[in-house]
Amino acid sequence: MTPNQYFLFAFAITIVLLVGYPLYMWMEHRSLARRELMARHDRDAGTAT
Amino acid sequence: MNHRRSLVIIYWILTLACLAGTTGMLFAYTPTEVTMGIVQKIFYFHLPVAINSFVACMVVFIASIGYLWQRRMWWDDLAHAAGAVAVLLLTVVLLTGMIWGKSAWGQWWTWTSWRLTFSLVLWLLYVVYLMIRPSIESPSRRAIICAVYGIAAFVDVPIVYFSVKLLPETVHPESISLEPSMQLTLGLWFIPVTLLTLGTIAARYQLNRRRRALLERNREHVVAAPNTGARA
Repeated sequence: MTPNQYFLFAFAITIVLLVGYPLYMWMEHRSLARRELMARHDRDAGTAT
Repeated sequence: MNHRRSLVIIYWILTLACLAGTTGMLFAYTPTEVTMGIVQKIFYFHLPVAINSFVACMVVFIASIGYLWQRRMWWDDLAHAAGAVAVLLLTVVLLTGMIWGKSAWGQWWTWTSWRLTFSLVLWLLYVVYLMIRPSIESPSRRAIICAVYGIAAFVDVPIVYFSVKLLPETVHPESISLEPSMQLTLGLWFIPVTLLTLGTIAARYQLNRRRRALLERNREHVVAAPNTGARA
């Protein structure tokens, strides 16, 4: 690999991890919101998930 | 709630704008160093991420003390969130450092550098911190054990920081002299990385709180209505 490729490799890893993890958090929040809604429906119906 | 959501969106737009700006500076404005070449530019994000990983470890340390002092579960949720972010940042630090090492020194890793060794130990300590959490079922017991562990693990942070000054070092530089334009780029890179660190800790903390609240609501419901055929 050339020095340029080493630099781009390091930069890509940094951006993917630093931006990817908050994106994963955002998707987890959305998933949890759906589970909260389902749990509320279940409670209203007399069962819990 | 909508006001808070708007603030969160503005925060993340600002963070991404700062990241885009500093990335532009890195490629278009900052001069290439003469001896090391373009690989030296790894330093501009390697150092801010390393410093922010120490910040995340310190949040774990403070939150762990907070939990042992007050025994409130939100301290445990905060420590857990910061621990996850610390592992993420330390992973970036190790990977970017290894890539720099391979290009600049011709080797991915060396055990003769105290800083590299203690950095790997720090990463392992916080990986173990995340691994022991799901292995303890009782929430209060888990919080106590993790708080004690979180305080003990922090001992490695000053060791990593001062190892390059106090112990004989073969490869990792203690400091690098930079010209003003390079110093500006380095200084500005601290802004998006710090915003990303704090924002991610906050997002993970909120997620932990919501998960705990959902679990407790379901448990309360099952306890309150044990004969309704409810499932836990």
